Amino acid sequence: MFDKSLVHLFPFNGEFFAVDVNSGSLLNLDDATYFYLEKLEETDSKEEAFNLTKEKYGKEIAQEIQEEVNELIKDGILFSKPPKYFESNLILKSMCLNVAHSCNFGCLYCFAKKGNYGGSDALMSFDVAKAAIDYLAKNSPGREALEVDFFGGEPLLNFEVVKKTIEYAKETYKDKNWRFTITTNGSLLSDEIENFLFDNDVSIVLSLDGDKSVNDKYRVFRNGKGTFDLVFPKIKKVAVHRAESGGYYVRGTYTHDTLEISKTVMDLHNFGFKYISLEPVVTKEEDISIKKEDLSILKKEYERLAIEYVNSQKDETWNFFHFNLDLEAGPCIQKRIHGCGAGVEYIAVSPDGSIYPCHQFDGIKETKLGDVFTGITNKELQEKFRKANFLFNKEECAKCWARFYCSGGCLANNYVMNGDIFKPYEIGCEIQKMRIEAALYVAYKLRELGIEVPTTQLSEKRDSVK
Amino acid sequence: MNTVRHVKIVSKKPFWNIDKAHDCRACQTPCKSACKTSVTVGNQVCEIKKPVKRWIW
Repeated sequence: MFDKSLVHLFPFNGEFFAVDVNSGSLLNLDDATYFYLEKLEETDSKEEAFNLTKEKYGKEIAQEIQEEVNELIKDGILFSKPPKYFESNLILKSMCLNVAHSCNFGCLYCFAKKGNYGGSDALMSFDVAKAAIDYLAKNSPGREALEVDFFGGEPLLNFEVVKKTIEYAKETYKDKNWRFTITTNGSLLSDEIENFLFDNDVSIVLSLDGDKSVNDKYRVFRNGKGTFDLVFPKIKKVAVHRAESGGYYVRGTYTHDTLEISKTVMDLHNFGFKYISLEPVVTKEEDISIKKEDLSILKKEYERLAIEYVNSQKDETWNFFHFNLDLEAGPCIQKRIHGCGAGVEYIAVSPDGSIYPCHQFDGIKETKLGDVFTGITNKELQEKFRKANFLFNKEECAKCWARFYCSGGCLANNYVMNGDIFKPYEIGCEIQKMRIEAALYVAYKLRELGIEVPTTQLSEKRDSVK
Repeated sequence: MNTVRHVKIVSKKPFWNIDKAHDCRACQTPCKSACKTSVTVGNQVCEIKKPVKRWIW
């Protein structure tokens, strides 16, 4: 009854917390209550937990705690029952347009194999992009908001097609609410490009791994030379241009070799960036991949980052994407049990028009679902993805305390690391869990301090802040 | 925050705080946000509940 998969207990920076998994309730506990709940989960017996607490803290305290905990259980705040949910009928709403299977960089960790996804360099033609937009618009019944991310390789190598595609979508499907994003290494940015993107409400993800020493370890040109000096001023200019409006994230990748993430994120913040994201690399390459022995370092790093993040908000508010956990306005339970929608609600299109379940599957021939001209032909595979998107179809996820935060994890990571979209990538899961704990701590502290962190959601229109 | 003697309730049943029939799925696809290589759903924002003064879709 008092199962660990129902209430997750964790200490953080000398404080104690409980998350009620099924209701999402977050509690800050004193040490005696934490001890009591730990014993309750270990022994599955109120009587034994009470006796052990009595031995350590005395009868009066043990009684008070037991009464409080009983009240919380009665109110459905601790050890609550599962929320009501059902398997949603996922309908296409989101597309990654890989407009360039080519890149002017040669980043050493790139999952796209230096931009061409293991094939030949190629740019998407406008005809293919147009067919992709038609496919998205016509295969998303009932969806008013449609999302398109221009991706690569480096999508700005094909800016004319990006531009024409945005104009085509808006003009042709006026009844749709188009939400555009572009992910770029920043090297080809110009005032003209940024002005077009800004004027068309295109959100932008700018790749930068940290300061020059960190960034230039892996983000290099094809000749091995670091890219920081070229991209930093351009990325900074976009961030300054969007300082008031938001609609951008500076996004980095960290590796086994660059685990000092608290310093990296704070460096990015000190450069003046307001919206920052930093993700672990996912690869099997020995020198780069995150190892099990790195996890204890990362746990300390996320803890350090959370503390520094909270402290720095007192001077000037800013946003670290992975701590951006809204305790009240977070997603509904239906969203939380259906993950990213890869292969069904979300697809990626390569330059020749092939459809893949997501951008990370692009180029993996056996995962091709069809193409934008004839539609989905491998319906069996799509059905498999539909099933894999449902949290409770993944055995290990169904009993994990973090299930309603990560929603079953990344199917591409599972495939790359385990060869099976149903089998979670263990190291990724551990990182996800430590990030969630840090985010919950941050949410608690910011609420206690009465600080509201600025939020921006990519692909939004700027109407409300103009 | 609701405080009793030993426990502070920071957030009370947010997953149950559904004020309208959900499953509208109008919220952002995780990989359209700033993650790109890992699903991050818990920090997405609900289209119905999100604050008004922000960029809106």
